[in-house]
Amino acid sequence: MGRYISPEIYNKYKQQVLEMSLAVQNYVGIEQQRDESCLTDTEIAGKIGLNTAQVREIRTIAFNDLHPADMWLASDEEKRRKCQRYFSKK
Amino acid sequence: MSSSPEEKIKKLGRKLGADLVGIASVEDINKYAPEGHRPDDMLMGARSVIVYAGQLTPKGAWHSRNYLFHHANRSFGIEYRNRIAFDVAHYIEDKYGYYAAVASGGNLSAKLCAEMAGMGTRSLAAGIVLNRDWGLLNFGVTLTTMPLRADGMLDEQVCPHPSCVKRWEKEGTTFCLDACPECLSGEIENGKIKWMRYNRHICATRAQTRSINSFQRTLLEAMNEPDPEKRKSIIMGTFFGSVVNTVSTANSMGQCGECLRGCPIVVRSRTLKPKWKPGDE
Repeated sequence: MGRYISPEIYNKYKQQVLEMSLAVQNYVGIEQQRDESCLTDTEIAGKIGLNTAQVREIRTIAFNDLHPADMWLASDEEKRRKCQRYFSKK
Repeated sequence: MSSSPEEKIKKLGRKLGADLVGIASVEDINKYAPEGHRPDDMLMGARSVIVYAGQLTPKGAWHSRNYLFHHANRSFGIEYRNRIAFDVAHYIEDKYGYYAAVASGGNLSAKLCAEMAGMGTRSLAAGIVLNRDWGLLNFGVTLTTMPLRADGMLDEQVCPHPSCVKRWEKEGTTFCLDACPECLSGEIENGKIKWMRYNRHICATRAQTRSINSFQRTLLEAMNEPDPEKRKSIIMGTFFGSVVNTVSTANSMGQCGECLRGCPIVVRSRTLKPKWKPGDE
């Protein structure tokens, strides 16, 4: 077994880690804002008191865990619909 | 007349297949890149970054009502652009005697390098770097300890296009914002991007519908499914089959581009005019 993050630590920090990561990116003009989000794993670790490896594990799992599995499947239909909408407007 | 090392390197990059080649200084990149994600965190003593940009997708990929056909035509780029970066790295080491390496993987932002090399600017569409003439580009990057003259950032922003500014003033939206309000939001003021937000976590389910992420997520769903018949349906069905296919062939890029489908910059860059007609030699 590789690295393992305990469910307690994962559930406690997953939302916070995601919000501080690149999962949501804010820009002023065209400059990425890195005060609250778009932070590196090491920067997040420093803010919440975990180590970099723990943050990396939480972020990696949480990014996949955020949306239900069906969302990937639904994406296909979403893209088909958007593509059709574009050509129907032309 | 002999050309400079910068000109020779750019010429080689173009000869190997890049549409554009630009040079950025590590000093410029490090003003924005956080520690651990800087060129000299990867290659000790790196001074310069060479960026190759290519419109690797055939323009015909955008001229299909079948979005899956479009995606399939956008999935050829990674090995191709890394090959250019690899060959130029060897050229620099052999000819000039400076260390060079390919920056592949997630630790260095190719978008930031491209911006610093003057290849384009960030757009309302997910901060994707757009080039005024080439539109959407794929990037490859070589790092080197060789001090090269940098091209520097563009003075003018590529996005928003004047027609988007007009639409914003009239309707309060642009093509990209209208096409994907789930992933994108933003505002234009005085003809420039005032602010923008990109929900990458939503975009990932679209841009990488078939990917390692969807493989892991779907596999977990199947493992947690108590009904063996439903479990069989998930694992042996068409969706998971196509995910396994994609992961096994490493073709996981370019599965969405709906925010850019009607972008006037991208539309212009992918529009062809016939140079030959029946009857011509």
